[in-house]
Formats: sequence, structure tokens, C-alpha cells
Amino acid sequence: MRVLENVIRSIGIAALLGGLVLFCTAFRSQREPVDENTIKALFVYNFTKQIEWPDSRLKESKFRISVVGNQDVKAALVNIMKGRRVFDKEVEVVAVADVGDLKPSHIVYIGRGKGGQLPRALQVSGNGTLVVCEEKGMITKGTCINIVEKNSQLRFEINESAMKRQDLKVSVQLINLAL
Amino acid sequence: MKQPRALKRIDRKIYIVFFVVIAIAIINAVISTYTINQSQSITSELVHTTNPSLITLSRLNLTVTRSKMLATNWVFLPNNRADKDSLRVLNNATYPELRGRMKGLMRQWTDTMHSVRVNDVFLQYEQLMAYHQQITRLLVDFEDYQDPVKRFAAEEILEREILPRSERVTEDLRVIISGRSAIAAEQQDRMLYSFNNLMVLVLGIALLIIGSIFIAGIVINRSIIVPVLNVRSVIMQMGRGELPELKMRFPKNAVGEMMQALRFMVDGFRRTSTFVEEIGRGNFNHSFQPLSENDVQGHALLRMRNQLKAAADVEAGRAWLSEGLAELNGVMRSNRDDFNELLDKIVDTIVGRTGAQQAAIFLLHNDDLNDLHIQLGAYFALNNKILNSRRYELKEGLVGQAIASNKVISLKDVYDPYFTIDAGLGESSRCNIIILPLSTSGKVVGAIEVASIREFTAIEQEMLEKMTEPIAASLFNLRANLITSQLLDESRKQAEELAYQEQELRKINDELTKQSQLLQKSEEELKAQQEELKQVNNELQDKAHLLEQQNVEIEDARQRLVFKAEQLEQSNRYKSAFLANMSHELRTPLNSILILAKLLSDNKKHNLDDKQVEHAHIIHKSGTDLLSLINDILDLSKIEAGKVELQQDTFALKTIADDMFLLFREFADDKKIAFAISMADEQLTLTTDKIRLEQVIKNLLSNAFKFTPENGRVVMSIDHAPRDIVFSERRLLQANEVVGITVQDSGIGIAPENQKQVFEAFQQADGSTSRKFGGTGLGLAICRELVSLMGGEIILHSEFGKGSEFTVYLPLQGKTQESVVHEQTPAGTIGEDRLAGAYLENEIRDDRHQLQSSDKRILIIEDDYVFARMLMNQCHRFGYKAVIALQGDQGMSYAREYHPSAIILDLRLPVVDGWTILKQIKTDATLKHIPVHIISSIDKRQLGLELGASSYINKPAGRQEMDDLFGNLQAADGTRKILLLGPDDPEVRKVLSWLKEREKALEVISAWTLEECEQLAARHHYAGFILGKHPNDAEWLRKVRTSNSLKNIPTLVLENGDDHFYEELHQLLYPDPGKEKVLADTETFLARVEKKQSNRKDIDQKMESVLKGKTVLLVDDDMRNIYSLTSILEQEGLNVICAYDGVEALEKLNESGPFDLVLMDIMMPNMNGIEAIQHIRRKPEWKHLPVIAVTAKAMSGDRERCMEAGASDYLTKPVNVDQLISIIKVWMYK
Repeated sequence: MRVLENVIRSIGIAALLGGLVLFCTAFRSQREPVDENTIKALFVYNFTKQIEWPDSRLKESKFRISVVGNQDVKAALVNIMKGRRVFDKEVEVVAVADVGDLKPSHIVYIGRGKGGQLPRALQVSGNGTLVVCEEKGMITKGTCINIVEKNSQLRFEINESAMKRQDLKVSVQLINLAL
Repeated sequence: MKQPRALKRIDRKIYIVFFVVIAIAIINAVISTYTINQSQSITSELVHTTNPSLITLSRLNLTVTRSKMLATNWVFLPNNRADKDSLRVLNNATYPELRGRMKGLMRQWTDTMHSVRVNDVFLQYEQLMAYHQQITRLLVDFEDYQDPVKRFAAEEILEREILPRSERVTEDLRVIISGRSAIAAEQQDRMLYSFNNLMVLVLGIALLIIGSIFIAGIVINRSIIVPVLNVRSVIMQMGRGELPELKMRFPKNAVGEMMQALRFMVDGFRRTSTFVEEIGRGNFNHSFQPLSENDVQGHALLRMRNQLKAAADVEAGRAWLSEGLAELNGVMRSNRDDFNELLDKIVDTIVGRTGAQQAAIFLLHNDDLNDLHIQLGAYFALNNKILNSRRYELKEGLVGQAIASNKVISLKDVYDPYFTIDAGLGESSRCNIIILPLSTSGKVVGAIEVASIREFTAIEQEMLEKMTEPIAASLFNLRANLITSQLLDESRKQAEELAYQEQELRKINDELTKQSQLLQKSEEELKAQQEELKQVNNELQDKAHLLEQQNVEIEDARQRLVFKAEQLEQSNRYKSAFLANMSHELRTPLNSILILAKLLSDNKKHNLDDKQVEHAHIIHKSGTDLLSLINDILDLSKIEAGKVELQQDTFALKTIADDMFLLFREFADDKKIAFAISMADEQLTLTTDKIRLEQVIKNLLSNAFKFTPENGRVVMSIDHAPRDIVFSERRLLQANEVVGITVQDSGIGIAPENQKQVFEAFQQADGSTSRKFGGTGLGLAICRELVSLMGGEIILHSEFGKGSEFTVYLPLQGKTQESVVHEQTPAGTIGEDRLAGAYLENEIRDDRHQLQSSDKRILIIEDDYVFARMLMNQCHRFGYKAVIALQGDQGMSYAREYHPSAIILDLRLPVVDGWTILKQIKTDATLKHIPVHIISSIDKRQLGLELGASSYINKPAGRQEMDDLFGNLQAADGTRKILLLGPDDPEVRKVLSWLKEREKALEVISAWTLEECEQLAARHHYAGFILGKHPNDAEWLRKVRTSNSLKNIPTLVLENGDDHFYEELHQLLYPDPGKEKVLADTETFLARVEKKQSNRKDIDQKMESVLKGKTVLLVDDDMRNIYSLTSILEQEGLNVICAYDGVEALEKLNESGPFDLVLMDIMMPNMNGIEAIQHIRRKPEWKHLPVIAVTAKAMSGDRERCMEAGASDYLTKPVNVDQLISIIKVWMYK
């Protein structure tokens, strides 16, 4: 009996120590300044929650996010999406160098500097594709969402008619948060 | 004193028992205290540690859950300030408090495992609090919520950290709580277990103590108490003087010994008492031993016994002596007549008393002083020797001596030869003799000699001496007495004889006197009677004369009466005949007037000017008025002659109210009079002649409207009559309840002096009114008569100029109603009706409460509840809901209430019978579309179908028939089917496509021939029948009317496919019960044709051409009718040939044929119309010739008779021109 109690006590102490370690790490990670790419990835993740894809696209087995350029965003996205499912599907983040290599995707993220490929991307990607850009002025060029900096803070713009063209439905909350 | 051994033994036993009980009680106390102590410690742990721990843990768990919720709300509900404050309070106040409490409690825990885990939970929660802080710092004001970066970051923290961590903490807490709960449960179990033990122990010990006490009780009871009680009862008995037996068992102890002593005592008492008792009884010889030497009582008793014995002996001697004397006295008293016998008795007595062997009495005879001698008087057992010498001289022998000296001589032990005693068997010569002189008051009368073998005792001698005196006195007296009585007897005898003779003489004298008196009296009575008789005789003679006279008078009067009665009867017959003829004779000319006036007013040839047309109109109107007047007169005279029979039926008063409203609504609107009907109780039903009642009310209403100016008001109200009205009608007075139907108007009113007159025939309130308002003045008279025939009364209240109020009072429950009920249920009785009513209220289980609007329902009107239930089950089988009515009147009201898709009807029903229901349904615009299926034991199939039933099944109904019935029902209300004849036609195709557009569930079934249609219609129910355009369609229509299977289907003839047709088709498909446009049968079709024609002034060219050139045979005996009808028919382009009776008609048919149609009057000379029709139908080529019967008498049964005879159709006079033409068209439509 006593032996057992000792064992339990030592396990308890170990758990306590473990908890402390976890606690500290959590705080440390929180203290780190959140970088721009992580925010962008966070944006994208939240888009998946606030936008409804047409039924035909939801029949596919995976939820594919293709990132054109900006490999930092791709990495952040992979990080953010770890352990998450979108529409109860596995999420696949794919890096694409050229729009020509695009596979059918639910989200196409066109990184900075690749804005020129937008028309082609719109052409290539089929119905029900959310196209996200991150360059100023792209919103007038046909992208669905454009992430921009305003007052040195990251914000996003929504082109509702582009959304409608893509057969996507946006929640009011997202529209309220947009510029 | 030394205690006996047994007693000691008892003491010991009792002590042992008490010691055992005390020992057990002590053990019990010790164990109980121990157990309770133990439980107390467990309870204290439960109360102070375990339960609070559990509560705190639960609260902790709640806190975690709440914090999760609040954090989520923080992120997603920016405006929810309350939740934000709650989160802060939770983290800053609630949690620390719980933590502190938990730490305190954990110190009490015996195991460390849970403590470690709880500490871990604290750590985890504090981490969570850090994340909460992050969120609260990120999202502070509204701008923060608008910033997607902050917003998304907060959401990320919530999703990634707070939610999973909260789950983990909750899970950990759950594990801990369940662990702690297990501990708590285990503690509770332990406590319960120890309490259980305690309970078992206490119970066991209590049982043990009870057992011990019980045993002790038995022992004490058996060895001490019972015996002591026995002893007590024995002593009590002794106290009462009894000496009981001691029969009980003696225990072997002190009490037993006590009882032994007691028994000894009782025995002693018993012996003493027996002895005393014997002494009391006089038995002094009973042996008695004193109980002991010192028995004081015993010795005293013995002494007493001896003294008593001596006294008793002396007493016995005295008694014997006086007894002997008494006996002797007795003997002497009882023998006073015979001297010798007395002597013998005396001797016997002396011998008997003394026990002597011989005795003798000697008497001294001193009658003759010269011959004084002694003679033997009586003796006892003397021997011969003495007997031989019976006479002694004075002083001769001892006897003589004793008498002479008057002294007793006693001889003892005398020895032979002087004296011997002979005893038969031997003789003794040794004896004792005593001789006693008998003397009284110094006179000696004789002596007694007594001899005995035994010596006489002193007492015997004394007795003998005492006896001598009385004997002597007795003998002396007796002798004197005897002599006296002898003399007395002789003188008495002589006196008696004298007295007897004198009495006889006196008796005879008395009787003679009485007889003479009686004779005198009877003579007087006879005289009086004779006089009375004379008087009575005279009176009788007078009366006989009088009677004779009266008889003659009565006979006279009777003959006059008979004559008058015959005259009356005759005049009544004349009157009836006159009225019947009037009916025919007045109507026939009127018929022509009406027809011709109508013809003129129509002015079809347009050759009359407006004035003339107006005149014709006036003629027509006057004729119509005249007709109604004639009808009124006929009515009134019929009623007054008592020829009106009421058709009793039971109906709801509501139906009358509805009918009246429909009838007068338009009229009221036209006259701009407000018209309202009010009904206090819509359930009121009445049993009387409905048509007559309606006639009365119609009359009252039309009067009201007639006399009410524009913007006036007419109100009809139906209510229970108030109780305080005094009726003059007997049936109203007897009725339990009276209903009043009031018609009230705001018209001109009636002056009080005229109020009586209005009910008289040909009277109006004011002679001048008739000029203004018209009318015959007969209406109210008829009303009054009708109402009184119905057992009611009309009461009028009116005020001149303000309006009047007529109220019809009718009995609600009169005799009539009962008799009707009886009549309509020949098989049942009123009792059964009540039974049905009782069923209704409590027992009927049908679907009426489960009905939904979509349900297809069937109304079953059937008085046999069992059969109705069976039908209901069938309904369920085919997917219908059913409502059951056990009485006819209910059936009607249910039909209105539930709108069934079909009705199954029995004919024999209580209250209202099935025929009436069928007629009512088929004449009610709202109900006539409902198919009625009759199931009845009455076999009148044809009549049922004619009255409009859809099918007719005879009871008992077979399974196949029932299935067919329900098959029909289903077919009838599922998809609606339309039957179409003649399909290959563009018009028909157009109609078909129009139909298909309208209703998807509609099925159109086409047929090529009429026969096919008939077969189809026999199998299924069709919503409608459309006759396609065809050269033969008029022929078809006629056949349709006569076909059993088709005639009940609403029928339409496809005309030019104009709008009217579609309108009608629409009506056919969607019957609107509110309007009277339901095409329920061909009669409606006819009515439709009429309407169409009167609406559309332009006569259909095709129909017009139908009549052109056709030939009609008009059969009528009245020239005027022939003239008027001929002119109408010729105007329509028909050729008319006339015949004046049936015979001529048949001749004309043979000669001038062929004819297209026959119009046949019914009342004709030679051969009447019915016969003529029958003749016509007998010929095969005339089998299908349309024959239309026309009759002046619109009587019920006429129509049936005509149709039976074979008429195609039927019209009543006066003939309505439009109707006549349309009927002719229908039958000629080819």
C-alpha cells in the first residue's frame, strides 16, 4: 500500500512539473510577436469558416489550398491548419510556382508579386474557387478577397460580385470585418 | 419457620431467569454503544469531509465549464458585458475561494492520489486563466472586435488552447469526482452495514429477553398462580357454605401441601354435615364417629341426638293415642243411621288400634225395666262357645259385673279354659283380657271386651278407657235419634202430597189468561196493514199513467231527431259532393282562362298593343287569385268537415325557420322590410304535420309582410311558451311543454274590437283594407282551424297602428307524439326507444370525437346498435370513419353536422323513420348529393331506389353484398369519374382537355353505346354523365331517364360547347351545396332547361326546330282545355289532333298515326286516362311513345299511379305553359 501511494505521489509530482513546463512554454509562445504571415494564414483559416462553397465542390475528398508564390504564407498555413479539418475534410496546402500548374483548389492564394497571374488563375480555376491576393489594388481586378495593410495593420477587402461569380456565399460577419 | 424444599426450588428458578435477562441487557448496551460510536465517526467524516469535498469539486467543475462558456461569449458576443464581468468574477473571486476551501478539505483526505490530481487541476486551470487574460487583453473595446487580426487571434486562442484545455480539466475533475463519490459511497455502505448489524443485534436480544420472560412467566403461572387461584376459589366456595370437591392436580410444592390440608378439612365438614342432616330428617340411628378425641362439635351433636330421640318416643305415644281417638270419632260421625253397622265399625277400630285378637261389644237393654239384660252387639273373631251364649243377665259373668259396677276389669295371662283365641290355624288359650263399661253421664249402656295374646301397654289401656265415654254417648244418642226420625218421616210425606196438588191448579189458570191477551193484539195489527196497502196501490196507479204519457213524447222526439239527422247527413253529403265537383269544375274553366291569358300576355305574335297585354296580365293575375281563393275555400271546408288528416312526422323546428327565411328573404328585400328569425333553442323538435304547420306560418308571415309598410320590421321567433298563459285548448293545458311560434310585424295593427273577427271566414280587420291589401280573408280562419286540429291555439296581440303579433302555440309532448312513435316502430316499443336514447348518451362508441377534416366519413343510421357496430368495423376496414345515429332524428341532424360522404340507412327507425329521412335528404339542397345506401329488412327495393337511394340491400346482408357496397363507396369518393357517351368528336375532345386541366383526380370513362354506359354505371359511381352530341341524343336522354343505373347520375347534354356548358360542367364537378344548382337528378336538368329558356329570351333554334311538324295527340274531355292547349301547341309549330276520351284516343292513334307524343288528361268519361295509357302500353309499337299525363288534381299518389300505368311524365293543371313546352321538347328531342 505504501509503495503504491509513493508511486502515485511521484506521478502526481511529475504531472505537476509537466504542467508547469507547459504553462511556461505557452506563455513564451504568446509573448513572441506574431508575424505577418501567421496572421495571413489565420485570415485564410477564418475565411474557410465564414464562406460557404457550392455543394458540388464539397463532394471532393480533400480541401485544397494552393499558394502561388510567398512560401512563408504557405508554411504559416501548414502550421495553422495542423490538426484541423475544414468541412470535415482533410486540408491539403500545396505550393504552386506557376498558375499553369494549378490543380482544382478550394482556395488559391496568390502571393505578393504574383498578382499578374490573377487573370490566368481566374481562368484556370473552376467554379467555387476562392481567390485570395495580397497586393494593393487587386480587389478591382477580379480577386474575391484581397489582404492589405491599413494604418500598418493587416486588413482584408471583399469583392462580393466576384464571390457571387464563384458561387460562394459569404457570411455577414466576414463582410462586417472587411474594409 | 422452615421453608419446604419445593418452595426453595421455585425461588431459585425465578432468580436464575432474572439474572439471565439482566446479563443480556448489559451485553446489548455494550455492543450498541460500540456500533453507534463507530457510525458516528463515519458520519462525521461524511458530513465534514467527504460531502463538502464532493460539493466543492462539483462547483469547481461548474466553474471550469462556465469559464469556457464565458470565454467563448467574450470572443463572439462583443456586447455581452454581463458575461465579461462574470468571467472576471469567476477568475478573481470564485476560483480562489474554491481553491482555498479545497486545500483545506484535502488535508483531511486519507489518500494522496486524489490530492495530487486536484493540485494538477489547479495548475491547469491557472494556465487557462492566463489564456483568458490574453483574450480579455486582446478584445477590449469595439474597435478591437472590428480588427480581424485581434479577432482571429482571439478565436485562435479560444479554439487552440482554451476549449481543449477546459475539456481536459473537466475530464480530470470528472475522474476525481467519481473517485471521491466511490469513497463516499463506500463510507455510506459501511455505515449502513454497521447500522444493520446493530439492528439485527438489538432485535435478537429483544427476542431473547422476551423469550426468557415468557418462560419464567409460564413456570410461575403453572406452579404457583394457578394452584393458589384454585385454593382461593375453594375457600370462597366454603365461605358461601358449599363443600366443593378438590379434583385438581396438586403440585409438588408448598401450595400442593396447602391444598392437601384443605381437602382434609373439607372431608371433615362433609361428614359432620351429613350427620346433622340425618338428625334433621329424624333418623336418630345414623352412626357417627367424632373426628377426633377433641372434636367438641361432634360430641355435642351426639348428645343432642340422644335427647331428641327420647323426646320423640314420648311424642309418638301421645300421637298414637289421639290418633286412635280421632279415628274412633270419625267412625262414629260417619255412621249415624245404622246402629249395628256402627257397632261393627267400633269393634273393628278397637281391634285395629290395639292389635288385639278378639273383641266384643255388649249392650244393656233397659227398654223394659222388668227385663234388664245384656246382649252381644258386635264382635270380632269370637269363638262358638261365646257366641252360643249371647244373653247375659246383669252381674252375670265378668261382663255383667263390669256393667253393673261400671268398673274396668282387667285380666292378665288368663289361661284356658276360660278363654281361647282361635286363629284358624291354631288356637291360643293364654291371653290378656280387659273389660270396659260403656257409660256416659253416669248411664251405663254396655261394655267392651278386648282380648289379646300380648299384654296391653299402659298407653293402650289408657286409650281404651278414653274411648268408652264417646262410644257410650254415641250409642245412646243414636238409639234416641233412630226412634225420632222414624216418626218425622211419616208426617213429612203427607204434607208434601198436599202442596203438589195445589201448584198444578194455579199453573193451568195462568196459561188461559195469556192466550186471550195475544189474540187481541194480532187482530189490531192486521187492521193497520190493510189500510197501508190500499194507499200504495193508489199511488202506483198514478205513476203508471204518467210514464205512459212520457214514453209517447220521447218516441215522438226521437223520430223527429232521426229525421233531422238523416237530413243533416244528406246535406253534408251534398256539400262534400258539391265541393269535390267544385274542385274540378271550378278549376277546369279557370285552367283555360289562365292558359289563354298567359298566351295573350306573352304576345308572341306581337299583334297586341301594350294596353291589351296589360289587360291580359290582369286577367291572368285575377285568375291566379281566384284559384288561390278556391283553394282556400276548399281547404277551409275540408277542415271544417273534418276531412283533413294530419301527416304526423317529427322534425326540428330549425328546419321550418330555415325554410321560412329562404322563402321570405328575397320578398323582404324587395319590400325593404327588415326580416329576422330568432330561435331560443335550436334543438326543439316537434311532432305534427309539417306541411300544414308551414302553411300556417307562411300565411302568418305573408300577412305580416302584406300589412307592413316599407322600412318596417317582421320578426319570427320560436321559443318555449311561458307557463303563465291560460290556454283554452284542452291539449295545450295537458301538455307538459308548449312551444310558441311568434310572427311579429310593425304593420297597421288591428283595433281591439276587430281582433276577434279576423279569425272568422271572409273577415278582414277593416272592410276597406281588402281593397288596399288584397287577399281573401280566409287565411287566418284556415290557420286557426289547422292549428286547433294540431291541438294548438293562435293568440293575437295587437295595437292599432303599431303592429300585431300572432303566436301559434303547439304542445311539445302531446298524445300525438307518443302515438306517432308507436306507429313508426311497429316492432319496437317506446321502451326500446328509450333504450336507444340511453345508448346514445352513454354507450355509443364511434369515431365522432376522432374526426379530422380530411377523414372520409360515413353516417350509419341504424337502430340496432350491434349491427351498427358491425357496419362501423366494415367502414374501418375500407378506411372510413363512421358516425352512428340510433334514431332517425339524430340521423338527420348528424347528416347536417358531419357532412358524410355517404349514408347507410335503415328504414325502421325510432322517432323518424328511414323513408322520411331519405325524402328529406333528397329534397335538402345541402344534402342531396350524399349517396344514401339502404340496408333494411323491408323489401321495397323499387320504392327506395325511386326515392333516390343509391343502393338497396335486404337484411340480413351477406358478406358479398357488404363488400360490393363498400366497393361502391370507395369508387364513389376516390377519383371522381365522369361517364361520357360518344367520344370521337372534336367538341368532346375539347371538353375532355378542359376537364383534365381542371382536375387531375378526374377520370373520364368513355362509352360507345348506352347499354355500355348502363353496365358501367351499375358497377361504379359516377360524378356525372355527359351525353355527347349525337343525332340520337334526345332519344338517349329519354332512356337515361328511365334507366335505373343512369338516372341518378347528374346528366349534361353536350351542346355547342358554349360558356354555359362549361359553367354547368363546373357545377357538375364542384357542386356548391349553398346554391340550388346541384344537378342531382334529371328533374334538376329539366328545371335547368326551363331556367335557361326563360333567361334567354331567344329560343334555341335547334329546340325550336325540334317541335316543327311533329304531331301531338291531345286527349281531354273539356273543350276549353282543348282549345287553349291546342293554341299553345300550334304556336310552337306542332300539329295537334284531339280526342275527347280514352276510347277515341285509341281510335285516333290507330287511324291518324303516327304520333310523336300524347298529352293525356286523366279524368275523362268512358275510358279514363290511366286505362288509356295502359292500353297504349300494351301495343308493342307504342311502347316507347311518349305519353304525358295531365291531371287537375294535384294529389299525392296520382303521380305514382300515372307512372305505374306507363306514363312517361306527369303534369298538373293548371298547366304551366313553359313547363309543358320544355317537357314536350325533352320527349321529342331527336
